[in-house]
Amino acid sequence: MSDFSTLNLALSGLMAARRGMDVTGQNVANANTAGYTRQRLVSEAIGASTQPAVWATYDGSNGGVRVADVQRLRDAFQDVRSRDAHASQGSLGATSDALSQIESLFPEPSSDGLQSMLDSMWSGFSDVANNPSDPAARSQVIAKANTVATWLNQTSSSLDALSANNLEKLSAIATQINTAAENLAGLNTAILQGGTSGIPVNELLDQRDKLADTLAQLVGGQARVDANGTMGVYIGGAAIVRGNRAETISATTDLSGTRLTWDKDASTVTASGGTAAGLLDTVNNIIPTWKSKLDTVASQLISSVNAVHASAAGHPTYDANGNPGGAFFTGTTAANIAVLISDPSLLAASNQPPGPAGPSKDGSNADALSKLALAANGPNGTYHSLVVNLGIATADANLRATTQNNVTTQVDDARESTSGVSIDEEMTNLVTYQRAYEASGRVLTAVDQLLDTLINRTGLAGR
Amino acid sequence: MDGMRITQRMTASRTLAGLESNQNALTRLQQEVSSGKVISRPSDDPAGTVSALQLRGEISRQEQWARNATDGVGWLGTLDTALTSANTTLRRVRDLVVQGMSSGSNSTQSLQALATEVSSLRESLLGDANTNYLGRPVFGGATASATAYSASGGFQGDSVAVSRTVGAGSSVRVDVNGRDVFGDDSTGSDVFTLLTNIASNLSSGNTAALASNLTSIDAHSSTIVTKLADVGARYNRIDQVRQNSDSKQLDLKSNLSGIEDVDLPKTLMNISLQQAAYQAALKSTASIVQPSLVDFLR
Repeated sequence: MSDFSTLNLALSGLMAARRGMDVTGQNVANANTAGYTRQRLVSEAIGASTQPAVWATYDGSNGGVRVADVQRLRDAFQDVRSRDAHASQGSLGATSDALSQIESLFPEPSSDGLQSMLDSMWSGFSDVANNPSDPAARSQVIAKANTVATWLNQTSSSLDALSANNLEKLSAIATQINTAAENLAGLNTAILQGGTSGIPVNELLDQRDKLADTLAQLVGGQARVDANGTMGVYIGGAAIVRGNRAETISATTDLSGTRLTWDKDASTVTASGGTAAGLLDTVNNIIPTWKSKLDTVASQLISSVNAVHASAAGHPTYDANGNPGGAFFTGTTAANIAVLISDPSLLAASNQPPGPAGPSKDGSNADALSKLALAANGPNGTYHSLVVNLGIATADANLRATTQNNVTTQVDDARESTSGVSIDEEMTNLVTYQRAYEASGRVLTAVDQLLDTLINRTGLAGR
Repeated sequence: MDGMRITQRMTASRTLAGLESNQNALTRLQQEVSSGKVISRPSDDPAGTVSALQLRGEISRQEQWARNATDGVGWLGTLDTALTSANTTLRRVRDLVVQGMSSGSNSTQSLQALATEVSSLRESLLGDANTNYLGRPVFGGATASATAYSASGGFQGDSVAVSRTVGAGSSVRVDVNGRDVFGDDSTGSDVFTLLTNIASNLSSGNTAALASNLTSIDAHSSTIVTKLADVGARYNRIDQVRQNSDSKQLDLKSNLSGIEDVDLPKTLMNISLQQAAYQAALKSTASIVQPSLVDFLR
């Protein structure tokens, strides 16, 4: 051990402390950068050679300090948990949004919903029953029935528009997925090259993890870091990113429904989570379900009113002209229901055939029509059940989305707890490194004084 | 959470989440107060929504039933008046017949005068039988003709019953068929033929026939009185329904209000509590988020 080697030792201490301050500075600078992982200086003492050889000597004293690594403090398992949570949140958020939008088409309970339109129509029939020969009573009930039919038409087309809107969203999401996958593959290349040439890639790794998070939120799937340091992302077992290669996907709609397909071979992407899965569920299941329930209300209204209104064997009905009654509504679904009658006199209010003096003024059929309001499993009951089930489904979806949101926040908190920058901690490190720097400087000063004594003040005898 | 490493970003994001949820709760309460409704969409309370829908339907039906009952009261009131008048007319005819039968005291001339009065009473009775309510002859069933009886006393109505629905499964007949009260004109046993016969018997002084006419008048009179009692009973029933319906509507509306409407004192109280919590959160956020070790190092 020579005196000069101690100078070198002090120098290594100075350099390590400087490096530590650099890392701390980087951490503080990125304290608010989303996706940034805090870094830590890993230093190690320089000691004996790890490969003892015959002529290698080591006198037991220390050789200083060396910066072994600048480590990213990240937990891969927390990443997996967080991505799973985000995938669920993406999916649940999309379905909850869709149900809320469907729900807003049914303004109940209020005086603007279908319920009050139906009630008003049934009352209208009762008014016709009270005064069958009054054309005004007949006209108003036809107008009220038209209101009901128009509302059903509009709500049905609003549901169609909602479906189209969600399809557009899905296409946009497919584009976002493709962009993220391509960027992630690009980062894989950069990280691989950086690693082999010894360039620090911590910041690139952060960006890549952030892209993996984005992909999880959009489409779910799993991200795995392979042995060579590249990240593979797999959706339903098929790779969307592997090494420097990224696949592209797009939204396809055909007779069997809407799905995401791989552009390379048009096979189906089995998206199990993420916003994409929520949107697919919305387009393929949720909207069709409520549309068909609305159709049931419409078809029940059509069939029950027509059954009473139209003349049949054992149930003769007559209009104001004494002719047998026909159908009142036409159509089969909410989309095409319409009031067939425009001439008020064609409303079949009577169950009595025309007498010698002309058509009967009986109103018992109109009374029977008004009593459909009370029919078990009639249009009113079907509509009530639609509204209550929609309410339950929406409340359930909202609750699940909120719960998942809380879970995601907690998982993200845990990740932030590991990877986030704490200003207090960085300040403490800064002070530590600053003091270490000062101490190493002091060592340097001590050795300098030692050498001064040796060189300048020793052996002055006889000068 | 113990032993967890806490960073400034965590504190900030947690604080923000807390503030947001406070703000949400406040907005929701505010919305309840401003709309006056606890349930503004089905998912707010699915069970409450379906009750509200049922109650709204029930209120609408009650209103309609009350309207039907009012119409029925009109029909039955008209019938009551017509029948009372018909009964008075018949009693007068009976008096005239009795007068005509007191033989000896009547000259041919006075018998002729009695016959003329009976004929005019027949016209008045026909007028009663043709009483209209809103353009419908109340004794004519569902007939399309403007009157229940022709000038010659022939029945032009039909046997269709006119009813008004005044409740679930409850309907009240609001007409009286002409043949049931004035007799069957097809067999000549109606009151108008009888009055024609009486007039001719009076003018011819046929006392024996008048005696049997008297029995017939009594029979008709008793039919009318029976019908009158029947109409009165139906009138009371339908009027009762109408009055009950009013109080039922009131009950239903207060039930609906209990489900749909906001409990103002409770909600305002909640708003105050929520506001206090929100302000406390804002205040503590202002003092927690700012300081770090930076503030104390020199």
